[in-house]
Amino acid sequence: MTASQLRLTIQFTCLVLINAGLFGVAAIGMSFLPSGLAIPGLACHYFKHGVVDCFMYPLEYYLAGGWESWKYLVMVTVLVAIMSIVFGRLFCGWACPLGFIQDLISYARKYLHIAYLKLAPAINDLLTFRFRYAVLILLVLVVSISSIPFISAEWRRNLDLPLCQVCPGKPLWLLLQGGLQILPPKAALDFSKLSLVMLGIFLAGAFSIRRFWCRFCPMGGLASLFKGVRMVSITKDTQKCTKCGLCARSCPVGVTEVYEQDEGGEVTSSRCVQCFHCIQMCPEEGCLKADFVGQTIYKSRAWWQRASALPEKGLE
Amino acid sequence: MKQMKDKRYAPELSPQDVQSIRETVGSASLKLMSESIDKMKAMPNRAQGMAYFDEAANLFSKRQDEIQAHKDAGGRVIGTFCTFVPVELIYAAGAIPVRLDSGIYHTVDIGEEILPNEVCPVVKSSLGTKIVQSSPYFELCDATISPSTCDAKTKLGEILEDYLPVWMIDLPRGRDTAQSKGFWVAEVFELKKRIEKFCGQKISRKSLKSAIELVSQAQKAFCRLHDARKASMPVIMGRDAMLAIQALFNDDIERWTRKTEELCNELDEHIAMKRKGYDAEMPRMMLAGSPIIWPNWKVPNIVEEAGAIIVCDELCSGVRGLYDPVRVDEWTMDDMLTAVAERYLLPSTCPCFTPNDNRANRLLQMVEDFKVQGVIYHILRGCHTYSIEFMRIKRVLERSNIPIHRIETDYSQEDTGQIKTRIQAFLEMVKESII
Repeated sequence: MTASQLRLTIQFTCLVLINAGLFGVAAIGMSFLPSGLAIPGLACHYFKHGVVDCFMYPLEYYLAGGWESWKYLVMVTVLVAIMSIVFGRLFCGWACPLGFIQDLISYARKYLHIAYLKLAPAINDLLTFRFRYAVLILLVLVVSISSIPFISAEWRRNLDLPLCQVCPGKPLWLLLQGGLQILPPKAALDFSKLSLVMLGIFLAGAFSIRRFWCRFCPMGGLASLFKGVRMVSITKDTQKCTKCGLCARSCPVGVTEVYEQDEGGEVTSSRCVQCFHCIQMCPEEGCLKADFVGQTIYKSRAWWQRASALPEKGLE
Repeated sequence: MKQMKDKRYAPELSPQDVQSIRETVGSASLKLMSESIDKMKAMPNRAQGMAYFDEAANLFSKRQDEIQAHKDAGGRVIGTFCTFVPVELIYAAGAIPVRLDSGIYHTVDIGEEILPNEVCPVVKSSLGTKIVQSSPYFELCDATISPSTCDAKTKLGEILEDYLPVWMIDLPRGRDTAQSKGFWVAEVFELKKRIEKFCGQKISRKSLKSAIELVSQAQKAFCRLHDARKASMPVIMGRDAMLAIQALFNDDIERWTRKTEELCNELDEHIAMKRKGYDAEMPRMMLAGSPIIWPNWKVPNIVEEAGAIIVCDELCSGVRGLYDPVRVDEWTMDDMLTAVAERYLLPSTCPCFTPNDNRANRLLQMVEDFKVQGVIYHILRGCHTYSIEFMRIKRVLERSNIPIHRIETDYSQEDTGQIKTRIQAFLEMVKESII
């Protein structure tokens, strides 16, 4: 099984088990956070049986709650920090349902043999560095404003949970669940028009640009803030590197640091979604490695020694 | 007559002159080739799979009839120089690529009629070979693709235009920058159109994909051969491996792949059974520097006859040409072409690139993988880029305590004795340092 096949399986498993509440951890999720909130992870609040939220939902929720909920805010922040430190952005590459959908769309595109759009490095840098953090800061600002007590109730309702108002995940999952008749039709329509527009952008973007959303997703941005201390990292052995550029070419989010960094050692970029596709594509034995607290969990293999020397048809 | 006037470089030789020089050159190089083959055959325990490559090494063998038959059936033959021509595109258009870099001694003088003294013998010999039509493969070419690598090769393309259509592909010397990459990828996209037009055959997604797979299979076989040379008890002499690799210059790629796989199966058996190997005490040498092209077997012969074994090389006539794979992420036309283009440019360690930091890393890694005990740095007189980089490579290797020896030579055989003495002395030193 190649890494991309494994990843696809895990993504699917996460979507089904975590988001459809089939994991027996529902009780844990409910126990220590009030108001039916779940563990912050990269999943979505709007799954009927979900036990894991996204990072942003509980943060937004408690931030909007003002002073009264500070204890919970601290609790959630600590949880987000722990998650980000332990798992890094493995969530993005291996568990996030939005990432999964984007990958599925990529597979469909590949099946049709349509080339993806290459973003110019300057534009990609703008998206992945500046724009991503701008979105994150804006969200925090909007939530903070909505928490000011004398703001009118109507305003507050409009500003409540600002990410969910624009996130394509909410309409996507609600519509899917509505279509599968898991939710009553009324609830399925409970999303803003703006988020429907965002869903359109998301789907079109994912079809033409690989992992389009991940390039500026604020949750990824939040997780990346812990880049310096996280336990999962990608390392490179410069001496083994032939500078063939495969890592840069095959990266779904356009990371160039793995290719460019010549000092070796840790090469993880803050925009990396840790899908380890570069490691899978790297043709040199042991040149790229994924480490978890110093332990190698995955490494590149000599291309010609693999069972199939050629990348499988239709796979990433 | 008018055509003759338009020639810019070509010397005016009568067909009779060409005929007589060709015959002399032909018989002299045949003699040289069979001498080298005999020397290689004289080594004990030689793999039986080498027999095929001994045959294929004859530059005047029946392979030319096969190519002629391909031409008679309407197929095209396209010549290539250096390691930068994406042969996948040529195969995809149903044409046959042949590599034209020449190692024939006796045409150097003829090349000198046009080229100045300072030019390297590879270029002189390649040109001389064309002037007197002594390489059957060159004569079979309908066109040739000439990458602008070093100065001599760049101008060689221009001179050859007197004889056949030449397409220059412009190689960016910066290599690692985004602009260089973009430029080169565009150059390969353009080359695709040219090849399609010339061959009268569209390169489709499917044909390019199967061409990539075809070449990849050959590279996979090569990698096995390369890997077999890592064995601590050597199972194949360096000259044999080099000969096998260079047979692909003009051989049928599928047959070459099959024969190389067979050879590797035999070698793997030797390794597994721990039998029939060569003396494990032989100093393990690496060849670096200017290309060593069959039948210019002067240096490899001297090194291995002095009791050493060449376990690997970084020559563009050897390992470098086949080592790096085309790895396609998505099988779209766009991605395949980009993958092909990048494979030829980015991982290349040709010293015509600046900066060329990869090369030192690549050598160090090979030293480690192949347990190399000494490096012979071969420089062809006039090959400036390799000559200049010697200092740097020497420093890097000496920091890792790997002795390196510089040999500067050309295609004449006058210095054979002198080189022999120097290599013997170097090997003595290496042997002492091992103990």
